[in-house]
Amino acid sequence: MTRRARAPAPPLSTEARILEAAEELFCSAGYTGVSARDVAERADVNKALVFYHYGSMRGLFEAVLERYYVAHTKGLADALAGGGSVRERMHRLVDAYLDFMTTHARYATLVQAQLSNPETHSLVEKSYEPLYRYIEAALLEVAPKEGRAAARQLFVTFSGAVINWCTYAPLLSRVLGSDPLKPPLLEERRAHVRWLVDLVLDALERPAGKRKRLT
Amino acid sequence: MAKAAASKLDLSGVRDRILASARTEFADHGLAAASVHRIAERAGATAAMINYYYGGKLALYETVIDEAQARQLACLAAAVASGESKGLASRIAVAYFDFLAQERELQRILLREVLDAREGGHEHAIRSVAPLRALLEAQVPSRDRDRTVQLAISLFGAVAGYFLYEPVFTNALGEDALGPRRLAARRRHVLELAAMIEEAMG
Repeated sequence: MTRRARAPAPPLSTEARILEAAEELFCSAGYTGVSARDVAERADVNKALVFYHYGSMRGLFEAVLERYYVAHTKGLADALAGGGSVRERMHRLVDAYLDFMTTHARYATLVQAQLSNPETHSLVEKSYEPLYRYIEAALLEVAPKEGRAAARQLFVTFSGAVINWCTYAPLLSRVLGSDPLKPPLLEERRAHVRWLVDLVLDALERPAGKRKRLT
Repeated sequence: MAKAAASKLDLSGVRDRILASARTEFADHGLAAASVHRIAERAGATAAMINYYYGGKLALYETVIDEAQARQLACLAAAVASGESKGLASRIAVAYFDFLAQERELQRILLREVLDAREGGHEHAIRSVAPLRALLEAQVPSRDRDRTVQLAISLFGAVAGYFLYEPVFTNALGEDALGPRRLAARRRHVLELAAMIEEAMG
């Protein structure tokens, strides 16, 4: 009822309707669990239009992932923009990463399922790359390009610390006894990841002579 | 033809070949989609032999997990035992890194269970946590256990995440992320990270 009272949203283009339907279906059934017919039915369009707009199911899947990674990258860029010390901005970056993954945990699962299969990992490569480039560039503000604490190494480490918390949520909730994607466990994780960021920033800020092995 | 016939007659080591073939098959396809015929074919055996030696697909799956897990656990336990409590994080992290550099099937099998978990169905993955947890908890005072869980998850992510996302890193770097140069660089980072953690924890 309340929905009717609101002004109607502008109608989506056929292309966008197909994309939305595909997104929903892929997230719940996985890449191989969805047919063009499923997408067409859900989007209420002719099956031929799925192929007309996206070429193939592979093309459609890649378009879904591309949209996801664009939104993901924008979320991080928004968090990093604005004032504050480097430390505050890095905290905002990992907070935004954690929040985005928590609200898009099904995507993380979808992506890892493709990555863990040698036949499908190439589906992810193209759409993932801009996110990787963006974060590496952001981390180059605080970390060197090469070496033991290189920006690209930190990217893998921080994203691993965040993503695995979300993809392993079904296991963690059984092992830890409550939902890791909700407080208090989510906040415990956030505090830990921030601590990890501080640890690395402290090490990077230490004068070269006092660094143990950092290069 | 001659080759196939020869390998069918070669019964010595057939159990091991089945196990190795099954490890690959389960890692690539998961339990439900794995094909006993593909496992048999790759091992130069037959589906009947798999039933005879292992008692069917699920039993074979569990044998694959148990066998790989015993090896992984032995490798981590050796790392724990090889020094003082100082340096423990570095030793465990790098031992796990070296294990994954050698073989990733177990990690992929258990990950797949978790990714496919809708309403349960990831019992083996859940069970795999207990011995690892026991190994760690024996090393840290009980007041540090919550922090240890968080740290273990981060180090796990830093190590396993690299291998899982390896295809995208290879693509983005334009260089084989599993080649010796990149692997060595990652390993140095993991050691550095563990050392930072140890230093911060005193």
